[in-house]
Parts: sequence; C-alpha cells; structure tokens
Amino acid sequence: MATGSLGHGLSVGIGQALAGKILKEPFRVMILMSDGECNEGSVWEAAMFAPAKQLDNVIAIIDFNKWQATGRSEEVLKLSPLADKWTAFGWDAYEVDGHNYEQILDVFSKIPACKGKPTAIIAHTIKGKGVSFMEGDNNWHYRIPNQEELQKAKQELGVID
Amino acid sequence: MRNAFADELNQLALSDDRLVLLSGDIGNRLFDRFKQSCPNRFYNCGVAEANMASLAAGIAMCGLRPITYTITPFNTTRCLEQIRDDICYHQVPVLIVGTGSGLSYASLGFTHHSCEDIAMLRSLPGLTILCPADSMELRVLLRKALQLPGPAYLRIGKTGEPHIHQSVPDLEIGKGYRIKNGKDVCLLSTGNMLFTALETGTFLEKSDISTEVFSFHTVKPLDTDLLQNLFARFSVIATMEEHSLIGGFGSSVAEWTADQNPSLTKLMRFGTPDRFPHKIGSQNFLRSAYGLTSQEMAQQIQKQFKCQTLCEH
Repeated sequence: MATGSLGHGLSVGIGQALAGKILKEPFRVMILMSDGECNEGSVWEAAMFAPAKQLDNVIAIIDFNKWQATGRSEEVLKLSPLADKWTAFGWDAYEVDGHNYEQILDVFSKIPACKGKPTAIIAHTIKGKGVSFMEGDNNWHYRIPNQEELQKAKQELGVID
Repeated sequence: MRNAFADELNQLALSDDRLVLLSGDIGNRLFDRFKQSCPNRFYNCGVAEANMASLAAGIAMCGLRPITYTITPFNTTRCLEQIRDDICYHQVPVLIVGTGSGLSYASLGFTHHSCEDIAMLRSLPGLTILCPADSMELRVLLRKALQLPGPAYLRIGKTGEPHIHQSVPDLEIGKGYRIKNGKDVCLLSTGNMLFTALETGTFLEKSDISTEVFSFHTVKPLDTDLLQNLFARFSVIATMEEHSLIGGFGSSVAEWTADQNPSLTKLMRFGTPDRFPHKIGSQNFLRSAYGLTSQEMAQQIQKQFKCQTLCEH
C-alpha cells in the first residue's frame, strides 16, 4: 500500500490483523514505522485499538534513529520513554539494537509472548550507519550522494574494495 | 433513517458473512441485534475516526466488506486523508456511512452539521456517493452499495424523515429516479430534501406551473444521460440539497452544464481529472499528462474561440 503519508500503516496493518482473526486465518502482520511517524495522532488511536481487541497477531517495529525531517525527534515532540509508552498502551514492548539481526530474530522467535497482546519492537538505529560522513548528519535526510560520495560510501560499507 | 439502516444491515449480515460493522462509539443500542447475531463482526472503534477509516481499508484488503458508521462530519471530513489514501487510492470496497447528514443534527450546533462532505468527497476518484431521500431509498441503496466492487459513501439522515415511497423503489445506482411528472419546470433533489421538493412542486402547480420532480440519490457518478434529456426538455431546472452551494450536488450539475454545451458557454475549465495518477514523474510530466500545459490549453481555447465566433456570425 501507499505509505507516503505517515500514520496510516499501523491502522491498515491492524485492520488486516483483525480480518485475520475474523477469518480465523493464522497469519501475522508486521508493520515497519519510523520514530517521526509516532508524531501522528492516528498512530496512538491504533495503539489503543489493537490491545483492546486482543490482536496478538500484530507486530509493530519502530525504526528509532532519533532524527526526523528537520530535527532531533526528542526535541520536536517528546517521544521518550518510547518503549514505556507502548507498554503503557497495552503492548508487549521490546528494545533491540536495530543493526543486530540476532537480537531482532531472537524477539521474533518469542512472539507472541503474551497472549492477547500486540508486540512493539523499538529498534534503536543510527541514521546513516557505517558511512562516516553521513552518520549523525541529518542533511542526508534530503541529499543525494554525488559519484565521489557514492564510491566512498560503498567502500566504507564494504560493498566494493 | 438510522433505524432502517440498522435493520437492513442486520438482515444483510445474516446472509453475507463478509460484512463487518465498525462504529465510532455511537448508536447506543441501535446495533444490539447485529451484535447478537454476528458477535465477531461488530467493533466499536471508539472516538478515533482516522484509525477506523484505515482499519476498514485493511479489513477490505483481506476480502471482507467493512462498513464504517458514525456522525457524518467525523466519518468524512475529519478522516479525509485516510479515505483518500487508504480507501480510494486502493479502490477497496469500504462503505462509509455518515449518519445525521446535512442539517439533521441542527440543534447540536455547527460541529455536527455536514454541509461540506459531498464537496470534499466528490473530488476523490472512484468513490460512489449515495444520498437516500427516505428509509425505503436507504434500504435499496445500502443493499446495492454492498455489491459495488469499490468504495462508496452513504449519506443518511437521522430519524423522523417523512416517508415518500410506500414500498422499496427499484433504484439503480447512478440513475436519477422520477417521482412526479411535469412539463414546465424540473426539480432535482438529493437526500432528505425530496419531501420539500415535492411540496415546492405542489406550490408551483397552484400557480399553474407543471412541475417534474426527481430523486438524485446518486451524486457520483452523476446521471448525465438524464441531465441531457432534462436540460433539453425544461426551461428551468432547480437543484435542492442540504449541503453547501460550493461543491455539492448543484455544483456538480453546474459543472456538467458548463462542460456540456461548449457552444453556449463562455466558461472553459482546466484542472486535474477525476482519477489518481498511476504513472509518476516530474511535475511537468503530470501537467502534460493532464493537458495543463500552455500549448495544450491555448490550442483548446483557440478551438473554442473559433467555434464561438463562427456561431455568432
């Protein structure tokens, strides 16, 4: 689906999960969101809905890189404590290193750990990770690397020698 | 109308297990029978209409037929982007039901009035817009709307609307329905204005003005074949609706007349068409695709100007 406008994906995914329960189909729905996306009020409408209807077939992963389009997420709208927020809303919340597949897969293997509860995974990440001149520089939210920068980034990421 | 809605929907849900009713925390006791007969197909979504609209899109994507139900402004203009992006763009069969439309909730103040909903929703590609005049029209339109392949908006009243039809009329979505024959003037009513339109007709007939009356229960798609016929037959045609003069049913007829008889009008309209783009490119690419370039518009205007000048001489 088209998720260009933020704050829609969680609700649509939860709708699919609800349909799964109605149709008695065993699928699970995974929704990937950003931390900036959690600014949208509709996210929190959805966050209250899923646990109220015991939708334990929902897994929301939040890419928590602490930056959004024009500033640090924490300074734009108060997000933290993010995992506690999801817990308080009735979700089974986990925090992982978003760059560590083992940690992510470990959580995947456990869920649903709490029957009747949806799962939120707060994946701590670093924006531009692995590229020295991109890490921590939010201008790269907008910029397109030129040929030289592209080569350098590929080298640093180990894609080319 | 809302009791007829609950009753008809209950009957339909008994024979169609794809129907799922989502309510925005209204209709206290109204859906008791539905909840009893289909306990796993009724969900109170709370006072959270944006979420409800997107949930419905997700549910419909899985092959079910969700119906969202709450007071009109909250189920339409409040969650307009969810309707646009999640329901209309994906053309999923969600039925959006606005209850207490127009001025039905007059005494509750302007927050509960809806005189802009048709204007906003009419610009969304692929959304059928239905405005029943009474409980009988509502029953047949509800039944037919739930058979459409795509999304629809059903704009219903509240309670105590006068009965116009004695039995369920044979309405067809997209086709105006003649209520009364006449030969001098023609009244086109949408939604709950029909009774008043008929009364207006009675007044006119007292002055020897023979009046024809139609229920335009479908605002979109507009019954342009019928309009063609009526504009040829009558010298005065009036539209009536509990909705703003900007963007509603009357506007849609006015747009049609402006576009229809290019030899008679001085107005030409350029803009984006009634469809979502499925090929994306630069702004100029989309402008060209929509004929919004100076060259294209100049050509069209030139053609029109020549035609007009010829007509005048």
